[in-house]
Amino acid sequence: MSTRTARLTPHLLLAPATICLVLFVAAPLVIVLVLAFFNLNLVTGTSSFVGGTNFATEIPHPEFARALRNTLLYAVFTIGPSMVGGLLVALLIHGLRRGQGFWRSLYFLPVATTLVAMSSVWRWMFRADTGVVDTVIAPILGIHDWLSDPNLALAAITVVGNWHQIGLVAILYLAALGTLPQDQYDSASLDGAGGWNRFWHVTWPALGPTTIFVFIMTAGSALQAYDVIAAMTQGGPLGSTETLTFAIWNRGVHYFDIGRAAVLSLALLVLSVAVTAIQRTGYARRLENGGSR
Amino acid sequence: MSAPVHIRAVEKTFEGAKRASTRILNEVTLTAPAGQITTILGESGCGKTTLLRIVAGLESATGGSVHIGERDVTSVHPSRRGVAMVFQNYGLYPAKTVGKNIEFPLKMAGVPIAQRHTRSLAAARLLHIDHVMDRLPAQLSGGQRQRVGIARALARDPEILLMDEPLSNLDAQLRIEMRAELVAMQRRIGSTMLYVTHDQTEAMTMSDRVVVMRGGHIEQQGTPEEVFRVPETTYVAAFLGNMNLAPAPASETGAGAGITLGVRPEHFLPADRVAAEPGDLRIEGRVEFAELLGTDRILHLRAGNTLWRARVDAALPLHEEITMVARAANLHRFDTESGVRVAA
Ligand SMILES: Nc1ncnc2c1ncn2[C@@H]1O[C@H](COP(=O)(O)OP(=O)(O)OP(=O)(O)O)[C@@H](O)[C@H]1O
Ligand SMILES: [Mg+2]
Repeated sequence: MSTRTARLTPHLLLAPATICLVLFVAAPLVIVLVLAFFNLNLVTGTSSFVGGTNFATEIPHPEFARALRNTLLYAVFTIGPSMVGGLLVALLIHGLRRGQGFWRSLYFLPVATTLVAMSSVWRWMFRADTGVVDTVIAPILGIHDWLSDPNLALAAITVVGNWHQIGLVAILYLAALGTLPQDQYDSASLDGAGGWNRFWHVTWPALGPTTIFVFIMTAGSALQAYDVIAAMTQGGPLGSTETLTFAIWNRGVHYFDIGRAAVLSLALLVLSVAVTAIQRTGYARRLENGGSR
Repeated sequence: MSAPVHIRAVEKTFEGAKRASTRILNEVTLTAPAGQITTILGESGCGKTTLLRIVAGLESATGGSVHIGERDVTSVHPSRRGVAMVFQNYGLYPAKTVGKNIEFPLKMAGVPIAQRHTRSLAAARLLHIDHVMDRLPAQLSGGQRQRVGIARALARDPEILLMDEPLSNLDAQLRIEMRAELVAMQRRIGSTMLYVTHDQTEAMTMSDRVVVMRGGHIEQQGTPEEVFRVPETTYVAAFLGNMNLAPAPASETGAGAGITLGVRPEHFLPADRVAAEPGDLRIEGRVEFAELLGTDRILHLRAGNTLWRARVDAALPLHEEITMVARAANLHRFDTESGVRVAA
């Protein structure tokens, strides 16, 4: 084989993947970036370059800060709890002597259901005064009608998001727990490590790569949360559950304002890049490599 | 500061699938004397690791008891038995550096950090791994990993040191070096050592006492000399030193059939060099095969239905037909049916 073909072969082999990446990742990104500088009229089909106007109108608009804040809140309150909760559930199920299959299926059920369909069940549970949530919690905490309260609606959405996510996190952690090497636990047992130390010094480092994967996955779905919001609150009341994704849909599809929707999309992109950056930082790197302390 | 280990009538059955249970250990009774090396020798799968894990407390015995010194530790937690163990597959913490690995038991015991450092460094020095303290186990060779495992076991000054085939993953040269080092190290720290191996050379060279196991029970125990010189069964005879075992010719034994004769290959002497005496075994065989082992040669001699192995000087001229003699004092007799030694 000549050096020329030798040099070309890897590129040829990568070509299909490269074409897909360009077509479905790079191109849309460029298009969004370009659209942010244009005013597109979908009715007449005309477009005009407007410079930074879309940024100037969208960013100071209350909708922008609100959507950003809601997205961040939703992300923080679904990523953290569903990761911790999923890990706890996985550890508990893993510790069971019998009935592991049953509990595993039970926790996986929310993942396997359609979120839109289940959201209407949740809406019924959150219904003012007669819903399960109000009948149980209202007498204790004095709060009721979550979905109509701008201060509680996002919390309700977060509850559903966690409910949906925990099962998946638990399944992923359970799979990882099933492959942990027993010999380290034997060492730890002889070395005098109790329950917590066994977890912290053996289990947690060994779960590192899974933790990173779970984080990326939950962060991805948190930033893109749309279906729960669409099915339960439509972004309301008073935009209190409007996240970036929902705002993009609202701007672009509802108001046909493609330019401002593109600006919102760019904001979401920046957030996603930030999450990726977290995943490359020191501790995450160590976790990914099996974690070393 | 060492104590003997008494293992009394220990039994172990594993509950297998479909309620079938298999007995892995059967009435195992042995004593590992204080401050000495006791080797548990047996072929793969005979239950050596299981026995060691029971002494460590990682596995519970189905019956019997384990005493360390005067203390019954049968149901004491592993960390409170004063035992340290070196595992067959190292059992290191992959996420911790070598230094942290060695320190870990001390950290768990609440030893102050400064003391932890000095003690782990001392253990590492003893095993010549103090220059790799900052590496992760994955960045070490197999031999270095095994040393880390040993250093971690030593760091706590254990009364009892359990070793499960610690040298099985090393190459031949390193194994020979480590063998001597381990013995020297044990002599220095004076711990009671229970050492599991399937390698008869390790057992013979390292131990104060050898325990030969077979299929979950003890076949014979004693000093290496005793076990080698007077094997109690055909199994031990064949396992240690590869003894020739053949049905005794009727002419040789007054008792007649039912006796197996055992001769070590090195006990055969060329007939032309010794004067045969009554009671000696005389083999007139045809050389089927000869293996040269440096200064010695193993001859495979066919005599009737039996193939004998004789270890002779490599300088001995090779003929097709050779007559060998084994002295009466070097003949072992076993009951063919039970395999047990019978008095000559
Ligand atoms: N947890 C277990 N469940 C069922 N059977 C087991 C278990 N652990 C070991 N055994 C069986 O017990 C027997 C003895 O195992 P053990 O590991 O003690 O052997 P060993 O003498 O250490 O062998 P090796 O030299 O190969 O390490 C084997 O037949 C093995 O299959
Ligand atoms: Mg073993």
